Amino acid sequence: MSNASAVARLRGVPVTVVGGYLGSGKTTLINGWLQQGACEGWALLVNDLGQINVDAERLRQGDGRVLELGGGCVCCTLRDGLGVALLELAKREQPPVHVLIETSGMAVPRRVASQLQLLGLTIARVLQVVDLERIETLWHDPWVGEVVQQQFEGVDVLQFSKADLLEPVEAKRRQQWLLQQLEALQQQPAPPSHSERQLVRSDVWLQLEALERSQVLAWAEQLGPEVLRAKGDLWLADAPHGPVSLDVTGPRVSLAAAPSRPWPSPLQRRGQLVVISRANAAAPRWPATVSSPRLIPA
Amino acid sequence: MTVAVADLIIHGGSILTMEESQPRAEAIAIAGGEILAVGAKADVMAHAGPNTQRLDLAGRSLLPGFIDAHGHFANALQVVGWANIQRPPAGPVTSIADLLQVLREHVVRHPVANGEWVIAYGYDPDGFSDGRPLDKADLDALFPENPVMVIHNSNHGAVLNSCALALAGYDASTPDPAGGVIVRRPGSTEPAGLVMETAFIPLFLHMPQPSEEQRLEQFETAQRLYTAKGITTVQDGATVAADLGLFQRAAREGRLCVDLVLLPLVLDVPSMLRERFPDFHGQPLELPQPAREAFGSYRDRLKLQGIKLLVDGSPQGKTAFWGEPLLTPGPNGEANWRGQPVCAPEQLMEAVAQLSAQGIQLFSHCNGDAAIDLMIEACRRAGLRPEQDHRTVIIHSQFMAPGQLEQYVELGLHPSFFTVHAFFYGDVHLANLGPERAGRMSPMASAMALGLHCSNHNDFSVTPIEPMRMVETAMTRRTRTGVVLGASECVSAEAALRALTIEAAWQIREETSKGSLAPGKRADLVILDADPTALAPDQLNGIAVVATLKDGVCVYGSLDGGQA
Repeated sequence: MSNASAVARLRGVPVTVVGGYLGSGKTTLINGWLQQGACEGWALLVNDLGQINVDAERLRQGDGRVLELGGGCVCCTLRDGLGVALLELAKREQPPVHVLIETSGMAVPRRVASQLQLLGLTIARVLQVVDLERIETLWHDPWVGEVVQQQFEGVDVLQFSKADLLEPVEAKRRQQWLLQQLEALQQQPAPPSHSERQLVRSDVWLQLEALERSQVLAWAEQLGPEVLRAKGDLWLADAPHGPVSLDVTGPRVSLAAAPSRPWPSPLQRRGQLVVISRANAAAPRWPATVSSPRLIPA
Repeated sequence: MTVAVADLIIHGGSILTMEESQPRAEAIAIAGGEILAVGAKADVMAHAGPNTQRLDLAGRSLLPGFIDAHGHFANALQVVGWANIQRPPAGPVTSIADLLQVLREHVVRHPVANGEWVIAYGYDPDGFSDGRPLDKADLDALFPENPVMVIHNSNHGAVLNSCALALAGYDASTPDPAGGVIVRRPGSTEPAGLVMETAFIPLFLHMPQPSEEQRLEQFETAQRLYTAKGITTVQDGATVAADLGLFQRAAREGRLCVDLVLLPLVLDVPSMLRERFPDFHGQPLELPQPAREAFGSYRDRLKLQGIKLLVDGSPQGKTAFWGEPLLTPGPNGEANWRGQPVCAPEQLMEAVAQLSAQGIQLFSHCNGDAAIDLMIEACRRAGLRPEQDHRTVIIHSQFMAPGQLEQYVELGLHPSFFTVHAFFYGDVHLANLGPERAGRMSPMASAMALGLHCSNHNDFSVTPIEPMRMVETAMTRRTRTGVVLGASECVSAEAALRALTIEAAWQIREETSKGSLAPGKRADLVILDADPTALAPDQLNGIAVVATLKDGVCVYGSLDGGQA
């Protein structure tokens, strides 16, 4: 088959999508993460290579499309489109351990994530960077207000920026205001929020054996406050025909009653869970290691 | 005094000059690729010499070669290798059986090895008599071993066969992506074949990319699509970085038989510059002196004209940006949907200010009235005034709000309209916008009354290359079902023809050399088998091109058979 597997080498590679309106502070955050060494071995797909923390000379020496940042980290421009950038990554000798995408200021980040998912990559987290200074104005902007509101669709975590430019009380008020707007707009709890500059932690777990529904619920119950969000498609013993979706945001646990679609084939049953927690949190425990009360031996 | 001797003298039919002082002539003489004389037969015949070829139109008509005011030549390179499965009049398909027959014939002309893609364009199930859409099984029967992509006429989706679905990895277990849909068979999650929007975009990663040599080979056939319709100046109205080099190479190798006008896409300008001026470090849209100077003149028939800006999407796809909500839900079922801009207002303001200050002509795609407002605001802030003669063109200017044309006049903006929308999408616009707003589409009569230079375009490959349908729809504004959208905006045949010739020439700063028949202008000519000003509008699209001349040379059809 011609080039059926053009990006097959990126299958399963976790992806972080960083969304946010123009000027919201996406690049500043990404540069901070780079400095902290949070992106070793990653591929960064950004709109403008010139905005990434590298000296102009190194930028000049690159081929204009891909830039080696050291530490196994590579940076690639999205100017020629997401597809071209992914093909570029797939061609490399060593596929990246993680792909980070900075979306354009007008993009809906969940839609970008969806396309990557269709290409076989695994979505580790979708962050929406919110400029606290401008969010209220942008929300009501006659030209881009609707886009700005739509960008919050399907976001895992809100990442607040520029809070330091405001009085703490005012920053708090605006966060609350936004959460209220989002709940009114989407008729569901707003995504958890994060104000620290560190990159939130994201761990992905592949589930190879069926779990009891009660095991999953017990696991979700015991998650600590360091966990911002847990999401996934699980293999439950009571639903052998397809994955069951789980979404945990703070105290709210939502586990679907039944699968919405089948497994690719009966032999390809495999659940997947993503846990997003604060940067300094320890690795999460996974449901299999948490005993369900019902399973405690008599 | 010696009189210049003509290579060719044409007479004996309607010669429509597009010159207001002398709209009709009896004869025209050309020499050395230019027009030598045009006017009364006796005067023109003074240029006849012993070797002058004479052509009697025998009642046919002659006009200046048409100028493609906006379209995408890069798409022509693509579609010449694809099967045309559009509904009439753009194609032959009215049923699934027709569609399959076109595909059968296509692979006879373009044989495919096992595993190679078969691509068709223009899928529109509304035009089917079957009462059901195309299913993957229809295609599987014909192509069990080849991936097939039948592209939807919106260009935002396609029907895939099982082989293509497997390549993309779409099956019953694949959830619909946000902002897209994998259409399922009734009562199951099994894909039916049609995938749209964000489910369609990733497919391009699975498609083989033709090599530069393969694309160069398509230039001849692609240009014939235009010359066969009398077009002698073609536009690539959103040139991407990857194509600029291709066009330059084709021009260098002498592959262009018509003039090709490029509008580099603003998003791609930085990569174009980086590739050609690696040592230049300016502001993001700052062009080095040689790049600025590269605009505005032909080299081997290729000209960089200006820079293309994109403000919104398409009205039929509901991705245009309007001031008020549509009467129908958005593309993903949104209530109170009025579309969105595709660029951030800050970026647009910056681009307009930066580029216009460097003397670069701007061509801005705006379909909805809110997008038009945004562009007007950007031009206002950039300080554009008509006396600067900047000739900023607002491509489509499709759904204009009252008062916007007056602002065009104030700032020196000029519209390139898209009147064939009335026919192809007018009924859709009526449903989405209601009669009043739909009736304001492409307001050509109002714009002309205000003295604006109005061109008209097909936006190929969005609609087929049909200059005469442009004339017809500018005159009638009639939808497929016969509703007239905004009767007060209908114009005369003469005005409609000027939009394809002299006004289109003005918009690309070529009104002194093209667009009308006058001495010294280039001999870019089209001979039609009837006079478009003498027929009823509904007869116009039946007019055939007899011959097309570029710089005096016949590039389509023949000058034989009418020898005087």
